[in-house]
Amino acid sequence: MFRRKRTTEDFADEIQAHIELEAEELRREGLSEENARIQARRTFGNVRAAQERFYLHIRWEWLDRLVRDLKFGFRSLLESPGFTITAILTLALGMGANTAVFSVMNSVMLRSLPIADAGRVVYFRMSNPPRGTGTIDSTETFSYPVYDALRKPTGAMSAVIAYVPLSSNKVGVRYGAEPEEAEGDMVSGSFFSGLGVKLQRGHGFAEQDEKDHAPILVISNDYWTRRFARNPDVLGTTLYVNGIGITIVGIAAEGFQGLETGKSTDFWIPLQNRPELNAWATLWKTARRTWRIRPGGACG
Amino acid sequence: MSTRESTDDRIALLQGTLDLLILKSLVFGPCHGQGIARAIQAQSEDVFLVEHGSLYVALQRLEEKDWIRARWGLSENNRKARFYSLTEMGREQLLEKTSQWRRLTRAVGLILDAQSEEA
Repeated sequence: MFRRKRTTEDFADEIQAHIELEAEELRREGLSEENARIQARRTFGNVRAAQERFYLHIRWEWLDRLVRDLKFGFRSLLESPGFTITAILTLALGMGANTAVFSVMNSVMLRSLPIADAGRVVYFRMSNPPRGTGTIDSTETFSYPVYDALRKPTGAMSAVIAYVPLSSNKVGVRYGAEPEEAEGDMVSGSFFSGLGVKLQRGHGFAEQDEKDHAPILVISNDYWTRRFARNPDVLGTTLYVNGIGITIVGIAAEGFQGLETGKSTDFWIPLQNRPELNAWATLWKTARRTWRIRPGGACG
Repeated sequence: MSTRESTDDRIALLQGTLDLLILKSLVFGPCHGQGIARAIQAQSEDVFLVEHGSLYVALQRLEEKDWIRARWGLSENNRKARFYSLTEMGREQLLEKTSQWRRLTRAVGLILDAQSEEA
């Protein structure tokens, strides 16, 4: 298999040498210089065809050896099934484990959020916070006053975004007469604008909506597809969340499913103060996670 | 020279016989392709027409089987040429193929003679 292959150039040289030798012999036999050369070429026949045959031959030889080596390999494997099974299992487990680990890593760590300039978005977390700063999880959640203090303009962050899941799982919603469940977040007014998430239809929230606790709602592209069959007329209609009628005003861009990896949020509403919608009292306990964007600054 | 006579009298080589003739022509020492072609033609009293393209493919094949080996050298009149020589394996093959050939021709001859007697 690893024998050094003869080059086609070497073969061409050999043919050239042959023709010269032949011509010389013909000259010795009495032909003129020119006739000898012509005659030598003619007796050789088609030089190109010969070269082509040589080329095809060495190609075929290579393939032939490869096929023989493969056959030998398979035979050897069949002769020692124990070894074969061990080898196959080792490879299979190795590949399987790596694929599984990569799939998880890809979705958790590598897949960036479908938002503008995702590299500049950071996740707030406190180290050694004073007691009472956070809510349910003191390092990753913030009470509303803390959030309010954080979002005061400092120049370091262009926007601070807060979001609060309406429930740890799903909330009851109703559209028309059919009750069902969906995953929803209450978010700060800066949510869509701060993250740079575009709305494919309608509009997002403004700071005022947060202050007014406006009863408006943005649904995700997936939810729009799944629940409303991408009907554009859904804008302006009412979705009841925990019995509260809220108007659908926008549909988020395709691919945006909220900020939590591995979860897909169906809809967003501005921060609310009604007890049915996770009132302020509850919010104080569960206001979670803020993000910030610092254009021009390195992320620490 | 009579070597340039019409090709009609010549016989194309049988499949497989070219290998045998090449091996045989190398028994007396290393030779280049042109010399081998000439030798086969001359020793067959110009009956065999060696197609040169096939000759070189055959030489390559024999080289790959390690029956012959090749080395670039100079011809008696100082020309560069690739010289072929028999290997030990080549010698053994020559003996075997020669005896095979003898048996074949004898058998064919027997049949042909028998037919000619009947005819």
